[in-house]
Amino acid sequence: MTFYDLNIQTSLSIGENTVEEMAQMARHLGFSGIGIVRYFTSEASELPKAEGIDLVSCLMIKASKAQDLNDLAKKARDKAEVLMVHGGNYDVNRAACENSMVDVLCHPELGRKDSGLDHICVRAAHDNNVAIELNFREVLESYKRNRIYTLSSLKKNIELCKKYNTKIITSSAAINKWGMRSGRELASIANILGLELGKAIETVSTVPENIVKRNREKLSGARMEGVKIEDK
Amino acid sequence: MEPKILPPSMRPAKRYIVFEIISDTPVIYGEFVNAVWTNSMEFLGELGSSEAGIWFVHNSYSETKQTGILKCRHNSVENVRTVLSLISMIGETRCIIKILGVTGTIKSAKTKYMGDVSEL
Repeated sequence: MTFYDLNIQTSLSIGENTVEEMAQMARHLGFSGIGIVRYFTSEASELPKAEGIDLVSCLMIKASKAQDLNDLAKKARDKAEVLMVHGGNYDVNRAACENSMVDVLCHPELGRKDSGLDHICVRAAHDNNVAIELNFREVLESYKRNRIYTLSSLKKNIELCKKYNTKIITSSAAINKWGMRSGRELASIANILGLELGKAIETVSTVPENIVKRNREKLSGARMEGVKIEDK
Repeated sequence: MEPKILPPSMRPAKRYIVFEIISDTPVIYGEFVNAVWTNSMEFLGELGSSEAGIWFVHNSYSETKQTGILKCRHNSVENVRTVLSLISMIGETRCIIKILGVTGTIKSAKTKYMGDVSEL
């Protein structure tokens, strides 16, 4: 089985370890690919290569207003294999769900006591093919009452996503190599928060893999809105 | 008088979880056991921990490879997995607990995941 973790922070963004160190740990934990997250700026450099693992270039957009998000998404779309949005603000969460250029909405519950999403957002996310992220670091690094709030928010988001059949991905969001967990462990947290085991495993394997595959086809010109070129 | 051992059909079904501790410096096994109990109490609570029925197979722990076996009830495997994944520190050492596999017997746990050929 192929496991993907699309949210890995390295020294290129806010992380402590280099891409090489993270790739080495990911190989040890059995990942087929990891997403190296960089915050979106106008100049985007090439990712370093790593042997034996697929490095996915993920760009994270951090916006404070919905309009800024839409502008930045237009600029960043062609430069990223996976386009992520730094969630937390309800207006930004909703704009991200309603924007079909966005692939993943990260931690919609960040810094909030509620879950940051409602039925309108999640339905829009389903229509626009936006995946909602379950952030493992939020659970790992919080404790006592804060962890309870986080867990209940995640549970609520999963319930909504199940109702509207919205895609979910689980990621470790590790900022150093000790924050990473193997794919099956990430799936177990999705499982105990309410997803069936098969669906929970898909959130770390086929769902992120398909997002990466589709976007690579789009970037290479083999896929456009509603049209796909088949090889003969 | 001690109670008689239950017949196998009446014993609760169990699973054996084979784990590996990944860390830079060697970890003391006793501290790992404490970390599992503390995390289990924090995350599952008293009721959840009692339902999980966590039991350490102490003599299976290998100091060199840092691998070992942990026993739990068959319907709490996912909960125990989560408890293990939420451990980030053992004593003063940062670590990751990686689960190598889940089996139904100690024998298959040793042969499949711990590279023990003497049982074959």
